[in-house]
Amino acid sequence: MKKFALFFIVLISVFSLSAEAFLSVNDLESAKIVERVEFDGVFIVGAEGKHVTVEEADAKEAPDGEVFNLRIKLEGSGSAKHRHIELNAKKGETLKVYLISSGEDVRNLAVVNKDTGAEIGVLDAPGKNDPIGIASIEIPADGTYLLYSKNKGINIYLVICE
Amino acid sequence: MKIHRYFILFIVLCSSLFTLAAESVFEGIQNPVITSIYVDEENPLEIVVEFNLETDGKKVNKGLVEMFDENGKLIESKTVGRSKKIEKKAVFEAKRTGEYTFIAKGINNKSEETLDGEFVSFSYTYPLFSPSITVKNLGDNTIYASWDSVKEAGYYLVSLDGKLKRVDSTDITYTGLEENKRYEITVYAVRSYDDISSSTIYKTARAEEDREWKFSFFGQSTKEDRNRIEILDADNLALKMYSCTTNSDGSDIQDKGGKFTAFHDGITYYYTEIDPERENFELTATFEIDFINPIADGQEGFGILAMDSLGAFGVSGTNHYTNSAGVIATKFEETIGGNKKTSKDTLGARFVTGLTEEIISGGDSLIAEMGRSLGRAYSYDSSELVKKGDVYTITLKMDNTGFHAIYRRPNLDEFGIDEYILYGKEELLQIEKDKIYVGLAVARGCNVTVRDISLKITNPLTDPPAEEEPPEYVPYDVKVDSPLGWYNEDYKFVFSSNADGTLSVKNKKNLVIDSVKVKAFEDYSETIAIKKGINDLTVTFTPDSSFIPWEGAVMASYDNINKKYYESYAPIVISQSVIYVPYDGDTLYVSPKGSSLGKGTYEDPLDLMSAIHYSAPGQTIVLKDGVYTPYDGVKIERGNSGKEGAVKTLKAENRGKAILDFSYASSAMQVWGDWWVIDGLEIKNSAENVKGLQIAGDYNVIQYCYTHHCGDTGLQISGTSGEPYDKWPHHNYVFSCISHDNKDPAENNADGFAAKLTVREGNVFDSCVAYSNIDDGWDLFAKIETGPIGEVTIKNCVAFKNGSLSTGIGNGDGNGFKLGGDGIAVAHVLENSVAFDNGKSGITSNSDPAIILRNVTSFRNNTTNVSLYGKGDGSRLFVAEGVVSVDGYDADDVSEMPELESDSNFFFNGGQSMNKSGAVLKESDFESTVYEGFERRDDGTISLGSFLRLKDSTLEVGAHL
Repeated sequence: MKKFALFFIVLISVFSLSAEAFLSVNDLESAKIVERVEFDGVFIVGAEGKHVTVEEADAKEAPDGEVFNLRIKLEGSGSAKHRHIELNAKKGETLKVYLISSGEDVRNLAVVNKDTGAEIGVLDAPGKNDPIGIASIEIPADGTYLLYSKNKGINIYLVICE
Repeated sequence: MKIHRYFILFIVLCSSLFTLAAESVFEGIQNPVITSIYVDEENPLEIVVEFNLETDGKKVNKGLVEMFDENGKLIESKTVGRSKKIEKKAVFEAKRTGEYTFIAKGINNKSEETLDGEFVSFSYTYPLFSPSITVKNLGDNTIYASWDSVKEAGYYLVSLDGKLKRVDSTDITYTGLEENKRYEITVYAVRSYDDISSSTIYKTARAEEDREWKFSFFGQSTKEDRNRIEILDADNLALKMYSCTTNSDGSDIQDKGGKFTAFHDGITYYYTEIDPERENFELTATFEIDFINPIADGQEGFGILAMDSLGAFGVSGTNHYTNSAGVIATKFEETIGGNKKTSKDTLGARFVTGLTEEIISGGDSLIAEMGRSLGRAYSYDSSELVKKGDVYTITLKMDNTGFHAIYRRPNLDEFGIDEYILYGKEELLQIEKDKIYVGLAVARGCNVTVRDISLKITNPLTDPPAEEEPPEYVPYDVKVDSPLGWYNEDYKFVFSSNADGTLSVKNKKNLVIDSVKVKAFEDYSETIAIKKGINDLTVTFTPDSSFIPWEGAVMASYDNINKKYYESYAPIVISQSVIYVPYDGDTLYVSPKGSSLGKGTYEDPLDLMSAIHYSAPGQTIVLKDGVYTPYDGVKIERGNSGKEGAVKTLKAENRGKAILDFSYASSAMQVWGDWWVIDGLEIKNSAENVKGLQIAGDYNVIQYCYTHHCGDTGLQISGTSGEPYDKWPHHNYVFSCISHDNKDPAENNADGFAAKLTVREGNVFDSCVAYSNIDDGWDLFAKIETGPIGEVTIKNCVAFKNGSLSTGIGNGDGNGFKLGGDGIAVAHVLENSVAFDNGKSGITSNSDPAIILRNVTSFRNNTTNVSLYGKGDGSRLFVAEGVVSVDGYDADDVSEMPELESDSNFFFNGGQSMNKSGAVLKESDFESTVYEGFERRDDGTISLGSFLRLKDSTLEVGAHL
């Protein structure tokens, strides 16, 4: 019996999968978002005059082989009040974002703790002529986090927290 | 033995796992299944393949769909990324009719192996597209029709008035047609089993060749959805032109696109190109006004415009400066016969000249200095204002003389003007030297239907030779710039003229000034003796007959009978009556019921204007409590001044209790004199587009005044653009004044306070409050046409809730402190001041690249709290120290000068306010973020109580009021 239990535990350990916050643009439909909209626990927040666009695009492949057939366009600067992506994360998790600037220059995606307003870091979005960037940051504390551009347009493809 | 058995079990387990790993990487994943293949209804060139495939990210990372032709050749493959949905699709563009086969596959990024589905066939018929034909007159009654090749069409059938002809090419020419007959042309693309027709085109056979017309929109404030055209008839050219969107019933404007200004335009433009070496032109068109902004702002309109160069298509972020000649309907302003005329919107001629690429690249100041913009209305009569439904036929002609802006209309009397001329074609050949663009234009808030468009081309070689340009008539601007009332026998007489000449002045029969030389634009000043009572001065100015204002110009007088200017150097006589009435004592009292017969005592007060006219330097005019309703406004004339050390004072006996109510007047209060102290007045209800209090003199102090509910800005420091810079107001001090609820009809101009357009250095606002004004709290606007203004200081001031009135009326588009305009660099200073809850930005440079901010607090404004930006490529010279910006709607914009981020500035980044080192300021760092009103302390400074006061008083940032 003990042998069987040990075998079973090992099997479970090998095959178990960890939970994660996950937003892939491939799971979305084209839309112009002007309010707070939920996608499986992750929110995209737009406003009138500060909308976020989800649209189909030519297939784009990230350096790790991930392919995206749409894009989330943060059409300009955002803030805690509009034009951001919002998700819950736990301390110690790694937030990974696939992103690219909508212009030729590198642009900055702020990662902000919604409760404290503190900016915990900035992720660089490479210029549009470069490959999709994959940027990561460690979550310092449990909470809700906002992702928004600090000044100009950034396209987001995948947000995953694991 | 126990250990040994567990070890064996472990090895077996690992072996099992290894065996599993050696099997397919896709173990457990179903093969992809194509569920549907169809042609996209909205795009018949696209074949959509829908398939089911689980993409878990570990075994299957993505999908792949491949398309093969009848021969099994791979044509294209599409990659589809992973998603939670099993249902996926791939879209292919088919290039021809045929039998295709598709297969869907699952892909693992780390393996060569693929997870294949079944092959599925699909039969596709490429759509036959309707030919897009263009038809042109080649002249000599020959029509040429051409069309794009239609894929898979075997041949074409062309129908001309029902008669079919087979054509294997993509064009056809019909010669010998009947002149002026309108023909019907249709083209059929034919495939073996089907065919499709084009739309039918109507074309009239003509002797002249057709011209190519093009559409564009460019320039400031243009946008694709607002600036557009709609062709109504391509044969007899007719079109609709748009420059705005309207509400659903067309009664009001929604969004405007573009503008007409003095030197640059943002327009919808439908134009053709002219070769000036080979072509002169005459373009006539009839415009029907479908819509014009019911609240005109003077920048909207329509017309025919010839341009030296074109703006870049669709570019609105750059002003398009160019030389131009046009007949346009927009705002016009002139002084005619000594009377200022203004009209928005009416038809007139506008000529912009003097610009080159070098001058344009030199920036706004150089453009204003070297360029010339001349606008002349055909009429200022209000009956000529442009209205919805009106119809106008106008002409712009270019011949060897130059450009003729023509508006002929019936019932024009002998004095009416119907043509203005810009002499010299070369004026529009300074930027692009080999072509001129001419076309139809609309801007900003005007939509039209244009018909009866006629373009006649003639040959410069055979056209009449150029006519000599007559001299430009420069009207005299001659005036006695001294007040009509005086207080002693030594009257300071000041005279100015825009021409050299000789001046004589008589007081009745006595010659008091005898034939002195006067220079143009230099004031002549002399103290002359006057007597008590009325002094009838006869001022005779004899212009110097050799005086030429500039090359090609002469001085001119206005013939009131014939209503036109003519060259004249005849003497000009001005009669000026100066009344000398002395009042002794330090104080003159006035009351609403005072009269000119009063003694000026408390018991026997004067009327307000008498006291103003006859006060002496050092005297104080005291307004007794009450409501004054001056029917002619209140004007302190230039020359009616105190002196340093002996100011004139105009004060309320009790602050706030002397009320100047301009409800019944067409003007309000103006101060053109110097060294006045205006204290404690309440000024309200000025007429539409009339400022409550205008300060145009120097060294004045305005304190403890209220300006509210006026038809334009409450308190504005400004002179006039007709005078040179050295006459603009300077060194005025506005202290502890409050300005609120001011609103102009267009709801885009009435500020609380302004020092703009025509001000010199040294003007200061201290401890003032502006709130609930329809436009901005403070406006320090400058524009290219008038050039840079002097530096203004705003300190210890508060601006809140500007953009809408206290009642809530207004669209909220108001800034707290708007500190510049048109990219002109002026180092205005804003210090120890607060902006909160304004409809737009709290503090904005409005493109002035040289603003200085010191210890300011900006909180909870409706867009950015702080916005510092310039225009163009010039240097950015901002200074910012001690800025506190908390809880904005957008992140502060300091991106043009990132070095402004420092430890002394807490900019709002969209989530929080922090300085460069990462220290954070939050709302909880203030004693209070609840506004509970403001107070005026005994010393006149403003207190906000604990609102926005930092708890840590040692922090040397933000405002401390």
